[in-house]
Amino acid sequence: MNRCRRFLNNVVAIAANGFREGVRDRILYVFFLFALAVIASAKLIGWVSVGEDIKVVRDIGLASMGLFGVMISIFVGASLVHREIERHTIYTVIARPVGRGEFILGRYLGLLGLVCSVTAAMGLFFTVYQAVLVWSGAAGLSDVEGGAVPFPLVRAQILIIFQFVVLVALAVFFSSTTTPVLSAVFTFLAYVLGHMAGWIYRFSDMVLDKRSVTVFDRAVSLFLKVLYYLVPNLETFDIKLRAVHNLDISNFEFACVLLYGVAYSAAVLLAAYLVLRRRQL
Amino acid sequence: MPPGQAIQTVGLRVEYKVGLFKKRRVGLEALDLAVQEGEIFGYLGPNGAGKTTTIKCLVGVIEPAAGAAMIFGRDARTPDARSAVGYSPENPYFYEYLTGTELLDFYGRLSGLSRAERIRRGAEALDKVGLSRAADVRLGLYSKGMRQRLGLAQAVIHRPRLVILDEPMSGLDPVGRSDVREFIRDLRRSGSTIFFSTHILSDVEAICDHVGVLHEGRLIARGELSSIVSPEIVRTTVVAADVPDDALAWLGGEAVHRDGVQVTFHIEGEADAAQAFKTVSDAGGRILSFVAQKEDLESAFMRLTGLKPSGASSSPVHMAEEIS
Repeated sequence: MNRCRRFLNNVVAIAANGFREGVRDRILYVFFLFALAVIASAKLIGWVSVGEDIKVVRDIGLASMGLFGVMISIFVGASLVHREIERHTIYTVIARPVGRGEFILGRYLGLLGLVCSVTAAMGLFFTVYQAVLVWSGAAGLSDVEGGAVPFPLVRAQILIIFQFVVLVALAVFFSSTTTPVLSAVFTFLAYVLGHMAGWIYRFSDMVLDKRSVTVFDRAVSLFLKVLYYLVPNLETFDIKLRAVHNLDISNFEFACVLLYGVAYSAAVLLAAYLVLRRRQL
Repeated sequence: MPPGQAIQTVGLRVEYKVGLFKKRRVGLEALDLAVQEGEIFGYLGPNGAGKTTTIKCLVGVIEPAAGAAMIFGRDARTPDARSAVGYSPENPYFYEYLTGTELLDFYGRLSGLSRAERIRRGAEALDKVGLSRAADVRLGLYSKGMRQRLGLAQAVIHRPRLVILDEPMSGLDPVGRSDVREFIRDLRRSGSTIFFSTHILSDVEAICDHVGVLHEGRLIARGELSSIVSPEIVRTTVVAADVPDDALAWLGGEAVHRDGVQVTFHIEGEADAAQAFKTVSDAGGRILSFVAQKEDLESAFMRLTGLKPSGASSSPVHMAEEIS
């Protein structure tokens, strides 16, 4: 088996094994069913806001998909590599002709595949649910949209999934370096800060926007700038508000966001590989 | 690396960083080891001696601080070298959500086997270790002994030229240990080289061609069993009858066990044994039994490591466990 084929074979085998691990974990079904229940109950909340039913349903639906995907990424991802090291299951894998980079990439793709599958299943349920609401006239917007799910909404769902591309990479990185609890905390922190990226950048400028700037101000500004470039800019993946109001983004912007997600994840996975390569197991 | 060597380490040194201040601790020091192709090599040492550390170096789990480890002439850190190795860790722990069949399929795939080969060899391997009936049971329900057997099965599914087993008999009952011994002999018959670590000395005596003794990270002895164990007679047990009291006094009171007219006594050293034989015969006594004992591996191990047993009444197996 040549090197390239072996690389692909190993990555796919480890990813498939990781995917199976997630599928056989009962906690996944708890998350999944709870998410479906939240999406289905959105209509009840929609009744409170007169004439805005479908917007509320979409808002809650998209938010649920994002939130439950994030929870699965953090809870499952936080112990992904650490548990393999702690339980020594990694020994029998590394002792095969498997590189540590293949191991990291396989574990990453396994969890990503799981999160994407769950999110896609939620998205399917969400789409069918909307269609039923529109078809039955319960949403009251069938005349405007002709019963079809708007394209910006599809793009919003794709970007929610791409947000997980980044988040799962961060979870894998942190689980390669620290304990599951700390890993979960750091990943959650990265998620929160990632959604505040624009604010962090603006605040770093605001700190210097006064008459007498001290050394401390400069240090804080520099720290915030570094933080801005380190954390993933998850705001760029969040077009829920625009999608709910049927406002699309350009193809170029959409492609740039996807590319940014892939590049950021690749850099984080490379860092995870370098950490694992140096680590004495 | 000379031809025919399955394992060679040269000046292997492993360091661990422990504690808050990352203090360095030496796990292995200047280890020079050679294992010939086709032999069963027993790697002996008390717990903490560095056996598992050596094995981790050989299978690429840890990297040495200095020196080199080679598998069939290839750097052990490379995937190419590891493709010729089957490895079962100490107290193997596998993915609990998989069944025995699924686990072997996973490892077979990582070893580059085709789907058809994985199915066939997986079933063969499970049968070989006596786990056919548990093939579709999730590993979370396996006992320790079953996991140990599964560890052996996954180590050999790709028919490796070199099989490295870390404490393969640990935690097994006598029947299980006997099965593992036979499993190792079978592997050798099929052409594999076996390198296994243990602190159960009777297992080494039963199946190994060569042994290495490791103590505190250093290899203190290696070679054939006969070269490790002293050939000199260390003790002779004599059973005699009708021995007069004055002759018995010469033989040493404390060593004597009397049962009617029959006495049993132990004599240390080869020269004294010959003298005792002559004394009993000259005094008119009858020699019923005269058994000369050479040093056994356990005594050699104690002598080499400087360790002492904690109880005099221990059997060889228990003694080995007490060392740990």
